[in-house]
Amino acid sequence: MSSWFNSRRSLLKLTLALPITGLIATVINSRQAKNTSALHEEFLFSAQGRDSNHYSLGWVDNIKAPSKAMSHNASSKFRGHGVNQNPALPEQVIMMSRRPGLQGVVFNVKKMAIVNTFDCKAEHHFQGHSCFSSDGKFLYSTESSISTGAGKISVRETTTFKQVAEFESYGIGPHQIELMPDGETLVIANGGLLTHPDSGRKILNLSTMDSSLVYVNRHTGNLISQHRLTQEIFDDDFDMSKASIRHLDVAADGIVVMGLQVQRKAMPSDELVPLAVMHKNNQLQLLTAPNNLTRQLNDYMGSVKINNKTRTVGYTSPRGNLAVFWNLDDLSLQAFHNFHDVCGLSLSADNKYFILSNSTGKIRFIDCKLLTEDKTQRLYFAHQSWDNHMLNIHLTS
Amino acid sequence: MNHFTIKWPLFAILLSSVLLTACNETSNSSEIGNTGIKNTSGQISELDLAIAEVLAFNIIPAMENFNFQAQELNRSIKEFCPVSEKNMTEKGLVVLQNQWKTLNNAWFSTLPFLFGPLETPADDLGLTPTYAYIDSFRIDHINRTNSVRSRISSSINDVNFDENDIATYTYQKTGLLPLEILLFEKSSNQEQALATIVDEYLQTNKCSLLRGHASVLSDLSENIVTGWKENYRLTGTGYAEMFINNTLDYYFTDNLDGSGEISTTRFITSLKNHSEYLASRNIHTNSALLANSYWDAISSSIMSTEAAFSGSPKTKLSIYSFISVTGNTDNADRIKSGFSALTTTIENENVNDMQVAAQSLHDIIETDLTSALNVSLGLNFSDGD
Repeated sequence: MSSWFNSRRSLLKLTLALPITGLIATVINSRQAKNTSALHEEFLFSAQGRDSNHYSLGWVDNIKAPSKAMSHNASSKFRGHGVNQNPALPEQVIMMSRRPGLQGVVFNVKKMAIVNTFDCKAEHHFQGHSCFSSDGKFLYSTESSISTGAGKISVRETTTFKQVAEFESYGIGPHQIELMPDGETLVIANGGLLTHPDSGRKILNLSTMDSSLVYVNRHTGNLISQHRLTQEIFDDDFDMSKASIRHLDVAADGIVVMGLQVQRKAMPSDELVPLAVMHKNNQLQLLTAPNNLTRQLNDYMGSVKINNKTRTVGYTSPRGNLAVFWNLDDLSLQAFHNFHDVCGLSLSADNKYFILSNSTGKIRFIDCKLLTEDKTQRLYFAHQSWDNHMLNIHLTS
Repeated sequence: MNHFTIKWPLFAILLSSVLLTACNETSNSSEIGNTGIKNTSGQISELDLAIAEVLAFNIIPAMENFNFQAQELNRSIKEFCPVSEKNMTEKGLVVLQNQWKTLNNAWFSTLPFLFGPLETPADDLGLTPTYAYIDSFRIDHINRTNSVRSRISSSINDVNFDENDIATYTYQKTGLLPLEILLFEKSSNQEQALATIVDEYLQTNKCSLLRGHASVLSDLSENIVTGWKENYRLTGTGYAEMFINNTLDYYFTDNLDGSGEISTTRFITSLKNHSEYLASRNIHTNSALLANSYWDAISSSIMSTEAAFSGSPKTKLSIYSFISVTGNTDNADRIKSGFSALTTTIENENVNDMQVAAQSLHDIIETDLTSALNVSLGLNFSDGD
């Protein structure tokens, strides 16, 4: 009885599924054909993939029309991390490999394909992030010397992506790097954590780790200033010695916000450590939250993004399953949003939404004014595993 | 042409018949297995069925037992400390002390399942979960024995103290800890002799505190069970039903329930986190100290965790069975070995070995269980960058 019934159900499923499968195939082909010529669209780009067979640069088109949005992948063969768009050549998108990777890929949005790859120089490995000069002619990426562990900034010209210069990062383990609004200064998050490719991602200097925020002249590589999260700065209220500055973003007025990751195993106590810090007018200031919210963040911020229009800064914590928002001017906590394994954090082109992504392929849109989710915009791509960072790209020509 | 005019109606009738049969099966399957939990998604996998049975036959009974023991303590306290009389006895106090130990063991049996109603925020800001009001050490790992003791000492001699005010206390001052302090020591000097403690009840308004704390705890435990079974956060639907059908995401966006995490990962993460809690926090120096029953409590929590894998007498498809049936017997064996090793260290009351074994079990759950169930706990949270 049971097997007869199951067979009939299987037959029914098959009967119903066949025409639907055909329809889906048609829709996919149609969408892919349109993608190659759609230059006014807004896209979301992110490293994605759960294993080496799937590592790729993934993207989503039609993000303003959820029912039409589709995801696509270009295989990278390595696990990617940070993604950047060339400000002078908008169709050029870069994805850096995750530390301690050795490669980057150049993607052309008009061709919807990877058009070039580049390697870091011998005895170096990448640290996962890069940024362009404002004229788009140079790419600055964070790297480390394998033999000495010293942090480096490589400079590549963006036609062939050959390295043309190299600077010190003035610290160990540089991670995110951004260009300041003056167009002349690079700001770098030196995480302070020493790793070596031979021991994978194991941290080798927990007892002596030294994290800092550094400003460097992008032409000369000269150090402009360096800032550390010392206890004295925060009136001894917090032990920041094991807080690693990993991610940052820069506001239009030059304010720099940082996301921290605490090496809890190296701390002598369970004392909570704030994870969001602002550098403004040459002063470091904490973005604080009630203890139970800070605790839930689980010592880890994964991405940070500023909305200049609403003067809001968003942070994501995949270990806390949280996105948290502060006001950039009065430093007040504005809202938080729970989202499992969230890390990707971007802004829509019209600055209306913070866009969150997670490793199960889900994407959510947080209204930047209300700081609540607009559920009608939800996107879900079950076969995608969005990695740490997501970038919104808008082609206007 | 005739060929088609005859065939199409016949085909339509046949198709309708099949569709009706299929629909009937869906409607007949409104319950997931024999769990009593409604199937509202229509898409319940074998793994979902196994987890639904864990909900119905392990987790909810653990919550119900905790609630029962809390109500029992509340009832016993009202007998020991009636509002209008003072006739406390040492025998009555022993009954309460034993009941507190039983209640604490029942609490530890729920700790591996720290999600759903236990995590529901119980403060105005939506930041402090319900479980913190029962066991503040579990959330922030701060031993508040001295501060709670100090507050009790001042309150028992306060003629204006109102036991109803305890319902407004923050989580740092409520739950099992104040009840333990009230029942196991004389507040003024921490003496533990029964006669001394009873004498303090007779001389002060300590009964008011005892009744107040027991009442708050019994309300919390009642809410937890109601949330699991019937009415979670005023939705009119039990958390178990939303959880197993993965519909929480559609009900909520404003707190944990709207996080989009699927039930399987939430379940595994909770088990994993409990093992890590045992491994990394010194429960033996911070919990159930006055009652001297921390080993019993730890043992209860591990028995409860393993029962989630092995099932109950009502279980038809246990997690162990599911793992074995899917060809992962080695994984099941490693998990069983992990539990066995941990149980031995608890029986030997060896703290260091227990913490090592608990960490090992955590690692086994993270690797072997997720692999056997083909579940990813996430990509971004697991390795910092």
